Amino acid sequence: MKRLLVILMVALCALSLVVAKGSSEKQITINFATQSTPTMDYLVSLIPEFEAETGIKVVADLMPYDSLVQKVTIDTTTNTKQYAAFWMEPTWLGRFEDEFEDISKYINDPVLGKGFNLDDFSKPFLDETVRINGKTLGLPFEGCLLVIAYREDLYQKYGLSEPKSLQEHLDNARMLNLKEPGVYGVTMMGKRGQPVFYEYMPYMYGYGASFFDSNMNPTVNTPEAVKALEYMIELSKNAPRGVSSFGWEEAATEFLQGNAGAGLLFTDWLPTLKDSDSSTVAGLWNFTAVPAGPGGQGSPAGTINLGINADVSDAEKRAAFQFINWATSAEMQARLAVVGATPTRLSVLDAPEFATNEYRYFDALKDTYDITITPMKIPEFFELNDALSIELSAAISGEKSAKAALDKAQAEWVKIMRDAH
Amino acid sequence: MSVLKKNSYYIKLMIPGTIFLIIVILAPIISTFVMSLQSYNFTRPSAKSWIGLKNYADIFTDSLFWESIWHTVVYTVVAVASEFFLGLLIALLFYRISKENSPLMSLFILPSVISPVVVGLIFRYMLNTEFGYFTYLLNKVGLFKNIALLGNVKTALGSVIAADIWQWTPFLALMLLSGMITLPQEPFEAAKVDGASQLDTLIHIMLPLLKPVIRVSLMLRIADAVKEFDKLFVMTEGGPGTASETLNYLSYRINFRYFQMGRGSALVFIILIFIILLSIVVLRTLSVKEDIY
Repeated sequence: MKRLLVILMVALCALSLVVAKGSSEKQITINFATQSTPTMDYLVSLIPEFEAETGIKVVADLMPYDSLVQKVTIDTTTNTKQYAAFWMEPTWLGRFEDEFEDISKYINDPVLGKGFNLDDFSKPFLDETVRINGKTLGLPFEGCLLVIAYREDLYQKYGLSEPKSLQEHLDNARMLNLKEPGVYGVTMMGKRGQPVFYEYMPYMYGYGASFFDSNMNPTVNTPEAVKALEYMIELSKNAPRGVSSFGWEEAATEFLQGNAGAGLLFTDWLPTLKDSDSSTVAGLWNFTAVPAGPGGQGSPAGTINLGINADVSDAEKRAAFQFINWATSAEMQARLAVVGATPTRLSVLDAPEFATNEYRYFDALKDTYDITITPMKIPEFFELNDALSIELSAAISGEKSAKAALDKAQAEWVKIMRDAH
Repeated sequence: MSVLKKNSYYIKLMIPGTIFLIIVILAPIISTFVMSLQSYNFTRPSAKSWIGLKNYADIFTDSLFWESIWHTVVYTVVAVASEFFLGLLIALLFYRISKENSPLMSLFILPSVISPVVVGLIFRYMLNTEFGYFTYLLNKVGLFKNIALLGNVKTALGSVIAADIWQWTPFLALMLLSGMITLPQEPFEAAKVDGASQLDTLIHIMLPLLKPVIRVSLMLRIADAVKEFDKLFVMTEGGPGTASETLNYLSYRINFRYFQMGRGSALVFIILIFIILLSIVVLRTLSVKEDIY
């Protein structure tokens, strides 16, 4: 009996030593700040797989967009280090250039970057959306591209073809507006703020206008820009009344309900477009890249990237890289594509399993990756965006002419840039 | 000194509350004022510098600021005045039916307990030009045909005001009805004996007696209307153009979109003074004389 007791005690001591050793190897936990979207929510539901695979715990903090911008700003500027990984957008690059980690060293790390293929992303797209001054500040998680969504059935009915130019897009809109009862030619985003700003940009690039000259002097009221805005006003005559109050949701809803024949749409609407419970046009639509205008071609980047906080510990940064690498891997991108995400990996866009009628819109995505432009990569983006969008919205609502609106915006931009420097 | 000594017990009792008030009210106000004298962008904290009253000068020379003031005044005056008169009518109706708090009134108060963001969303969709029910009804009776209420510079602010009136009229009705129920009956009986008309009784007896309730109700609503943000954010984002930009929305943009905390703090301080001045006007206008009772 005594011997049994001794054996039991020795066994207990050994067990406690094993447990103690296990608990001394501290599990790394990283916090991840992100907006809640259908794709992101799906990714978050898969995080337990990543945790089981790597032993790294990820706490996802899902929040609305405005809260996200504020939290990321506060976390990085006050150095609170609450979040190791962030959702980030291309237009944030200027504001957070010094706050986000350059991930090049992790990509080139023999262990962490093993098998990492950067060429699997479109190079022009990477340059535009995650790179600034030679630094790579994140990885593209979801395309969220601005494309033209159009009603294939109506286009066929009236013998229309995918627009190859902005003029053709306008002509198609006029034709549908005139011919198809109860359907407007286009839907548009005219609401002040980011919606009208993003609606305007493809036309601006199409007419060869730009925001700045080579010396970063604002050029928002050039004759090309005025023509682009006049084109947008002309297009709005074929849209539902009140587009000047249409944000993302209203513009997309018009298309989803079958009230519009076409319109600029961000591809994060894909899950809803494909769902016949939410969309009356499921299966009847297709995408095409924004066509060229007389002065060029371009589509603004709304891409969702994942980045790393430059202030957190090295161990957290490495864990965060593993996480964003997992989330943007070809395998994960293929899984997300099935639920309606816009894959950022070229290998996924070319994969045989997606060469079906259901994924016929992948061609438009590939075309759009090569013409994606990040509007600007400077800290003043939000202020400039607001100043221009106020005037664009005034022009769309008929309050001002295109020239008067852009002249006012130019004066505001000059003031903002002067105050900033 | 003797007064302090005499009241030392009460002064000690006040200390915790006073400290609490200093921490949660006075300190932020002082901090805001100090920040308003600086050039301070939250995204570039290292570039902070003292610039005196330049932020105030910039704000006062900005035409958008004056436009925002005008929109704020219009919003506050039209919304609160409409809510008061409609609320008074509803309260009188309920008072005539029963001189007690009616259970029906509890149902009536429902809009006021809905979150302003939800109210904004409801109105945003109800006023949609294509599928909005309110738009449909208005068009049916021949109003605002071919006009997008939220997308038109002439009607955008009015549409948000309408949402505010829908939400807050029941609150004022409830406040006024509660006041009416507690009024002494003798003055009314005397007026009846003297042959006063119902309108005379309302103007010369009921409303003066209700002054304390009216004063508190209006103060609450004016402060709320001046700092209205949620419905504007959801319904118009201050647009189209700047047609519905109010002081508080402008402050949000400067502080939390551009992170210009110096200029934003100056604007917040101006809003604070604006509310204090408005409150003084209301308090003076509706000052209560003790001899009413």
